[in-house]
Amino acid sequence: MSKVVLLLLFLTTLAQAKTDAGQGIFFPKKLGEKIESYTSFPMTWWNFLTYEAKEESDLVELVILCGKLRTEGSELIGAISCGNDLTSFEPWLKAWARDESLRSARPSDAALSAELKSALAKASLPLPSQMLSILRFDPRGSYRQLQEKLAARSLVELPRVNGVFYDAEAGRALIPIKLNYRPAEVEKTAKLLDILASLSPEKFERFHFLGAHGATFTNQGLIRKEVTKVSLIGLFILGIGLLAVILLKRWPVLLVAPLVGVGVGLSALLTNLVFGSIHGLTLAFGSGIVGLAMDYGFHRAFNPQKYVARSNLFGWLTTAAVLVILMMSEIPLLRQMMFFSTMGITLAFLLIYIAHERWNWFQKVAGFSYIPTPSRPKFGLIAVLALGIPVSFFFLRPTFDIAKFNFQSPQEKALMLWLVKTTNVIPPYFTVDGVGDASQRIDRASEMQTWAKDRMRVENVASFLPRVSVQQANLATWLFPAESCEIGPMKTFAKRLPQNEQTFFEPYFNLFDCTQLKTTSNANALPAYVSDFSSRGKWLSLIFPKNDADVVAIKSQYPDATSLKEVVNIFPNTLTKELKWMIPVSIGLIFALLCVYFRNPVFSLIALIPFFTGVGLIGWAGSVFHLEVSFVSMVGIIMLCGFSVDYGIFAIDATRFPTPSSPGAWTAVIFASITTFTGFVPLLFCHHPVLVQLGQSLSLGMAGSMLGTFWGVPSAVAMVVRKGSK
Amino acid sequence: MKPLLLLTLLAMIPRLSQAAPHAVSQKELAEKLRYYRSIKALQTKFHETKTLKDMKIQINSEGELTVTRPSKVVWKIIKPSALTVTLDDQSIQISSGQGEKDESYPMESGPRESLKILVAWMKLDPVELSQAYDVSTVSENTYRFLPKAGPKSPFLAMQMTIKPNSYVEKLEIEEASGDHLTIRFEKPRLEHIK
Repeated sequence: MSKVVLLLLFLTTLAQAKTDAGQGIFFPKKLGEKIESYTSFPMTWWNFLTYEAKEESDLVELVILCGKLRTEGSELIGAISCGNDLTSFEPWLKAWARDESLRSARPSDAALSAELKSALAKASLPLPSQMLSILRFDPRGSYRQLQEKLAARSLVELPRVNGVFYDAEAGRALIPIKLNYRPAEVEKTAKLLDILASLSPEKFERFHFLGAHGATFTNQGLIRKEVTKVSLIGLFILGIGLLAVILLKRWPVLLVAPLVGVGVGLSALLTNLVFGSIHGLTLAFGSGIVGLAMDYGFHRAFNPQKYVARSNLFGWLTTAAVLVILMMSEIPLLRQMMFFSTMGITLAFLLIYIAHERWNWFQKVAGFSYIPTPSRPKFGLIAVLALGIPVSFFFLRPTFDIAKFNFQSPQEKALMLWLVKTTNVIPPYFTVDGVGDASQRIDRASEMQTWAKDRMRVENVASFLPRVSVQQANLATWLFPAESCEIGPMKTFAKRLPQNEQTFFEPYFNLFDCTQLKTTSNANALPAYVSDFSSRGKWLSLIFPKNDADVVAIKSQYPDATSLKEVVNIFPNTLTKELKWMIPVSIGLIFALLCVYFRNPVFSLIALIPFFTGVGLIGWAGSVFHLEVSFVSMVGIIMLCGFSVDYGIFAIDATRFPTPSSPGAWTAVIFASITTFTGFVPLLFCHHPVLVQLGQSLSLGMAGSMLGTFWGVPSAVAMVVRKGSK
Repeated sequence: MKPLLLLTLLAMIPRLSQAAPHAVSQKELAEKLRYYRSIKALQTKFHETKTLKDMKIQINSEGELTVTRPSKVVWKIIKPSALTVTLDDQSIQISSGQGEKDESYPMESGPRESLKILVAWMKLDPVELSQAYDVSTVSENTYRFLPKAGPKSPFLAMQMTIKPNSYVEKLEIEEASGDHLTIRFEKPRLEHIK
């Protein structure tokens, strides 16, 4: 039980502490950097706010609410399209209007004059002040080009009603929203949702937040909630366990927990020293693995026999062997998690050894008088249980897709399906350019546009800005003669206009200030309307393939181009490739170590029975109930390997060396297995796939392992001994 | 004393001749707008002055208004530049002089909202006007319209002056932004329902 509490405490810490929570650790270094870099681009910070609006009239209120949200949450919101209100986009529109001087040559005075008169005619209509303001700084209406480009980028294929995307059939509205921060900053998402809830408590339930920020918030929130829930259940069971241990006068075994706790703490420090930081998942799952060291303490406490030291040593060696092999993974997360676990379990093992040998902590703890009896039917059942492993080869399809970590409620799943239907989302390929100055980068982005022209869509800086040479040529027509702004064509032109026009279009003429007009020269300071494409001095390009042939063409032209899906798939692909050799090598190494210990291959095989029956039960249950087997399930199976082989060793020794202390050895296994089993069962009642799958693999594995230990091992040892005596 | 009394009485004449402001019923409004009763379409020239409060400038425009019942309104600006706004219950189109559609406006519903209200007004349907506005008299032929929508309305108030027993000759609009529009109409050409 304390094992799970340890794990849960660390899961809680994970949810609160400022540990590393990045995604980079899932991938080999180069790719990890790539994905970190990709998610740092504000382009990936767009989400969708959906609103259940059965009637079109609901949209009016939605637009009002949206406007309030924009005002109240202005620190968090980069841009939001509330109806036709363009307040969020005003900096983009102003920069876009100003940069018209980079995109095109100055029109003749007559043409410009006609356009200003047309704008003035529009201004004479009864207009809202915002539109009047846009007409003042953008009388030529260049914002419409920008609007077309942004609309194409939104990929939403729904009509706009009252300025919001609306699906009348589904009774649902969609508002694109760009946030000012990365998805991992969940406390900011919580703040934004609080603002929304405070604006309209009665309508809050009708909103849903879909996208990277929404998903991260939901997942972390759910993990916190469930960890708290499971922790409470765990603490309750722990309380009962403690009471039972004290009432049964076996309290010295409780001393194991602080020793393992010290092991976990020291290991965390070491991991931090070696890796520079410690990932939350390492702390969460690694602590559970380290917690298995308690089994050595129980074994030591209940069994005073001398062989226990050697028995524990080989139990630790077989566990550490698996962890060390997994440490050779290319996946940094696995390397870190296994380093942490190896260090933790080793330190805890040493502390338990010292506590017994030097400090005499675990003397005179009596075991229960239980010794399992061998029987053929029980052994037959165990054989059937182990058959679950070959059965699972036919029916179980493990998937290590990271998307399996993503929790979606049935409602969110339905919303996502709807969103996929209503958006023309083609997963894009992305390239990142951080080489050379702005001019060289725009040239390369333009070349990409030219290459993809008429074949597929490309979104990059060149979609908005021409090459610098073109910018220079265009700009010269607006500033000429360059020596003095005061006698430049725009100033001269403005002075000839009637006074009321000069006043009305003052914001427009102010854009043509010499100090503001310049070609794109600073790669780190792109105009607001293309800022989504820039992050940390690097520029992003997105290429949208239409079919597989396009993907091949992209790969051939831009070998570095990757889709997010491809990057994410590297994790399962690498893990699958590695597990193909790691599992047989681990089992082989364990078997070799067991052969060294027992000096008997048959006993070595028998020691593996609890592991086989544990995995066998997972296999049966998975095949019959179609359970999902993911990366987390594999972590569970590694933990299973860690404790089940230990139980195998303890059970064989208790059976083959029958002494008055044998019941103590079985009590140790009972303590270890009950604490582990009851500890992980509460996880089955969670909703988050990570917790549920960990709970499934550990509870089932533990149950199978217990059956293998109590029914399988004594029967098998008895058969071997009988055969030997004949 | 007599001259003083006479002067006092003379001073009171305008007050007596000016009716005290009062609410105008739908029936009363229908009577005032009888000129427009049974028309199928009307066409009139307008001269507009928009006063932009913050900038302290005026924008002058002129053009032609065509109203075709039940709900089509064409607001055609000729000066300072050609611009045609066509409104009906369903849509709004703003076209420049060359006749190209100019309406992929992102903020189209902004002007749509205010222009839609204007359409209802320009139809001069007393039933619709009474439903949408609180109408009161300002002077004998001048009426003030306060939108019942309150602050949601893009207009704070409108004031209409009717030439005695004839057409609407002046319309003043106070926008929520504080800007002010004065539109003067010439005598309309009417097409009656046969």
